[in-house]
Amino acid sequence: MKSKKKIIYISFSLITILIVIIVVFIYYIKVNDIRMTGKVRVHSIFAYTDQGITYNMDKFFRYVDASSGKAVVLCDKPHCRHIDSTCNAYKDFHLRGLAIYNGKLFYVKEENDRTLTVYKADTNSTNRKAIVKLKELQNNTAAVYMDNYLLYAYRNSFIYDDDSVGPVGELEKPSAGLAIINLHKRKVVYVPEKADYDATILHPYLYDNKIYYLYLYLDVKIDYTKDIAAIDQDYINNHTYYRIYCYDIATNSETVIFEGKNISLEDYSESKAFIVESSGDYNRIYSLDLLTQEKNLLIEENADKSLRCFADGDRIIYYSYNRNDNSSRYHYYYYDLVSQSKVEIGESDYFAVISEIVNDKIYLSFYDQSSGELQLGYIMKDDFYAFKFDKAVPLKLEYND
Amino acid sequence: MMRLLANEFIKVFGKKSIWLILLGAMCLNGILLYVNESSRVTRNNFYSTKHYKNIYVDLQGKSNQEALKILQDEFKTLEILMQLTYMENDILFQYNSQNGMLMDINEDELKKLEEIYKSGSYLKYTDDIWKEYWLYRDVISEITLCESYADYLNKIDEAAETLSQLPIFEEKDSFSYRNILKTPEAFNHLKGNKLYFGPSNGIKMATEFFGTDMLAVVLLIMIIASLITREKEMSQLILLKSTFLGRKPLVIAKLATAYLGSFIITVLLYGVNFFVAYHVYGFGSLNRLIQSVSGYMGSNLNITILHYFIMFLIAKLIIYILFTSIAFLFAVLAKDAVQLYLTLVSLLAVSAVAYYNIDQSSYLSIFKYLNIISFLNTYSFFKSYLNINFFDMPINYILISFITIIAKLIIAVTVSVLIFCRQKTIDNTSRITEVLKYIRSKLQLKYGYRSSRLFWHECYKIFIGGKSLLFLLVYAAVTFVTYKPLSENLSTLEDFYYKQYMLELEGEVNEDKLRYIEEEEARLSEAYNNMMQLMEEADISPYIMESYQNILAPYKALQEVKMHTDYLKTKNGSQYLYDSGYKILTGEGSGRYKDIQLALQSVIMTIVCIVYVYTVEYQTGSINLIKASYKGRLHTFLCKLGISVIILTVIYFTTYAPYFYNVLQAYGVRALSAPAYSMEHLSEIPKQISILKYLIFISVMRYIGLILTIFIIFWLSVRLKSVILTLVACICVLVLPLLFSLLGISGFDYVLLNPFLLGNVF
Repeated sequence: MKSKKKIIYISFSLITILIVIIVVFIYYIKVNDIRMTGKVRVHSIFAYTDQGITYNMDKFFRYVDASSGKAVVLCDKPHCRHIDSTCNAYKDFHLRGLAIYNGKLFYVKEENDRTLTVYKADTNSTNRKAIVKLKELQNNTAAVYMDNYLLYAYRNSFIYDDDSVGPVGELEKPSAGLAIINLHKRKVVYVPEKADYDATILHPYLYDNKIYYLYLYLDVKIDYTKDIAAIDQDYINNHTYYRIYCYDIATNSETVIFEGKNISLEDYSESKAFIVESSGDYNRIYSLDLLTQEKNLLIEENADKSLRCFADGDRIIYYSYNRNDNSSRYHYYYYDLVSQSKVEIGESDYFAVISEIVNDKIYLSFYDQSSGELQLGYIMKDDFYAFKFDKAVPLKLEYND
Repeated sequence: MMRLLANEFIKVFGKKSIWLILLGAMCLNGILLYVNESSRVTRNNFYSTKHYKNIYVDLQGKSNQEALKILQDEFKTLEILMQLTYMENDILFQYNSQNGMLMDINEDELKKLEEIYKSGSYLKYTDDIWKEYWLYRDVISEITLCESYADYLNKIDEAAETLSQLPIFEEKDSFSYRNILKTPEAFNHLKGNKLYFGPSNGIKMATEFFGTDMLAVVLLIMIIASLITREKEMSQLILLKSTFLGRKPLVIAKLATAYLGSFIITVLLYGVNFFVAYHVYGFGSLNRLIQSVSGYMGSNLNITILHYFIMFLIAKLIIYILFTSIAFLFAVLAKDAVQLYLTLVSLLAVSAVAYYNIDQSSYLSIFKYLNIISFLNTYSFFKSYLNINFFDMPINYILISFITIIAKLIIAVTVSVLIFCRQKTIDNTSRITEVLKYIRSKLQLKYGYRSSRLFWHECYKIFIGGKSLLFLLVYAAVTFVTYKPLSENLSTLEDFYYKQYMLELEGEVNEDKLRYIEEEEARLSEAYNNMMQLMEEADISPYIMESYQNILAPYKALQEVKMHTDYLKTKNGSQYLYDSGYKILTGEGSGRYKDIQLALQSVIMTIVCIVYVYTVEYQTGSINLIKASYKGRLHTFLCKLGISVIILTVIYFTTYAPYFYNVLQAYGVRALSAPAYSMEHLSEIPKQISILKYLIFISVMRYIGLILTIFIIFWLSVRLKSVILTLVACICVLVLPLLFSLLGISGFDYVLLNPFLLGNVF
């Protein structure tokens, strides 16, 4: 009888434990099944969102809020002095791709064995969890968070422990690659690497379950340590090739959708890419339809003017400046894709270079007229289009030396 | 009942040996505390404890501003003199507009500085300008913090307001948001408080040393073992339980004795801590607020240092009582000493893992903060304001800790008493022993195995009765399963280039190699100069920048090679070699911790396997029969010793062989015949000793150390006649010194058997 009771108690306990485990598991799945949306592009050490800028300049995760202009350490303890490892935001490792994305802090940490790990944390820098392990990827050339993905472009310039070169050697033809990291499913796919002189991948982009990116390379080896006067920029341009690739995530295959020379891929908007083409006679801005590969000329300027452009929905903001003199005069325009017309915004003696357009803000580097210093900040779009550049708001970064 | 309590107390504390042990623990605690503090301060700050004390003695009686003014003026002189020391001698005190502007002084001031420098009067407390500089810098920092306390409190309000308005923290139901709002309220009552400076190191030294708690834990286990486990082993508990007062008064008396023991241990050990700290540093005015102690500014308690000391001691006593209660419960449940030992070690290990690995704001943070290891760091209750994340609600750490401690105490005591009262029989035969006996009987039947040889019977006693065979098999299995092939720790480009240079230069130093280094330096310097020129003159493109960075990547590694070359030139016959693997094996860098870890492993395994050898004879009383028999003395001793050495040899090879193989396989075996002193950390080794000979030598030393361990265990077994007491004594004599070495208390590398067990102590 006693042993029968024992069996009943044990069975009941086991069933209860099983039910609890199942409930917790289902809850866990539900909580983590939140799809991400949006886009955050990482520019070296900065990542811009419509709320502010996350940046990585010292041993702490830092953020500057756009609306208040306050720079803070990403630590939610008001009484913390942010001086050592007792601070939530303290980090003693190298990282790349730091960004706040969909309410979470993401970054790519360099491990001691030279591999990388993608981490996710709360915005107060706690609850840091490794979510995807990557192989050894050396230089980061571009990083973009889009929907559920982190698109991480890299270039490997060194080879280690090779019989021909010993412990370390520089690759004559570096290999460029792109890691497509699914943050939701915690998986990574690598596009086929390409090895060429100065091989580089830039501007990764996700549209309709396909990844687009720019691949550039040279067909000759250039020794940059020679006297700068001996390096002919035109010679470099003539030997630089550009391709835009399309990688299909579903079929894991890729195709080249565009090739050219003397071009620069500037930005994307929906299914279009915007390219600046420079030649000895002209500079042109084209739109390239990613789906049909149809190319349309939008803007043409003289060859002595350099062009940069940024997509803003149905508009393309672009600015030009004279290449051949030391003038800092910038001409700002926008091109309306719907009416197919060019509109002048204004000319300015003050340098204002756009970094990123996010929702209603345009982040830029500009000369603050009051302080006379080059500042990082933003301007509201309406003010920009109205050429009220004096309304640009500087954002002061704080960091330890 | 009182008589029962008194008798239980006398049983434990009536022995001379326990007071000798307590006295020894007090002395050890004091020595450890002093050595740890001295080496910590010197290692991190360059100056000594005496210098710190003296500067505060000189500042006594002064206000914050007065002290700051004096120190800052003197510090400015030191800063200028430091800059001057970088100059060449012939221009040392030559005034010109450039150095005048750089140091913000005029010619007359420079002449005065020259007099001060030549007389040496700028060194008031130390004998070196760097030490003086760091001393002034640290003390000025401590006083400045006190002076800026009002600003700090205001900044909390500002920070809370800023953070609560940030979109990234604005989720109202989150722990972050609630914590941000709650924090300023917790500091409001401190507004208007003024902080006065005083020596902080003394207060921290008295209350933050974890070695004291480790000693206390060992002593508490010893007391519990005397009260419960020893009586179980001697089968006395069955008799005691049947006495007329019954079990409940007995167990309460034992618990009360244990708590009295906790009180005695707290008073003795922390009495020593306060005494030593007072004499090394002093405490300054005890009426100043706790926030004036460096590192304690984040505390929201409105208490003085005197209050802190009192509350700290009370909290420490309560936590020791909690630990005693938990250990008591395990002792009641455990069938024998080994079970008790393993259970307590597991509890401490799990608590330590949770404490050190769980994130502070994680939803699992209650497991981090509400465990015994966290409680033993008692000063953390007072050091900084902290809220625990309890289902997204911020709960004050002190409050929730207090509730948890009381709850655990009540549960532990209640369950201990209930189980003690209701336990029916004490059966010391474990299931494993029954299974082994069954296997033996089957083997005997099958093979007709019988022997009258002493050696085989001793083997049976030790391997089967003492379960040494099982422990060895488990140890071997764990070593096998946890074996992970090592890969070279080359995480940066500099590491790779350093390796490349070393392989290129391998062998004796000669003119060709020196020329190669010079040519490399010239090449890299030229590239560096070109790059700097380009950066100044033109818009350097990212491609060009990157190319130069790649060319200059070996630069740092080359500097290391040059420094090493300067060293090699001072050692005749020394060689370049890629020594990363040998550095690990010879205790340099991370290798030191690995040495201590492996020594701990081998010592603990030796103790666990060998402790039973003699104690079983004394516990069962069979020693009297054995000694009276024909081969009962020397012969028996030699058999036991021989078997122990066999066990030891298995442990030794299981511990060290995989490690050596792993390192040598990952890093290679090049240049084994090079003189050991080619590696800078072995500069004192004679020239004739090659790396191979050195490795063999330290291996032999470790083996000898483990053999000496056997003798110590035998001696303690004979003296203490009890498994649990021998275990505890072995921990104190053999394991604790290694643990203290692991804690970084450098003197302990040379204490007792440590020099043999660690090997790399030259």
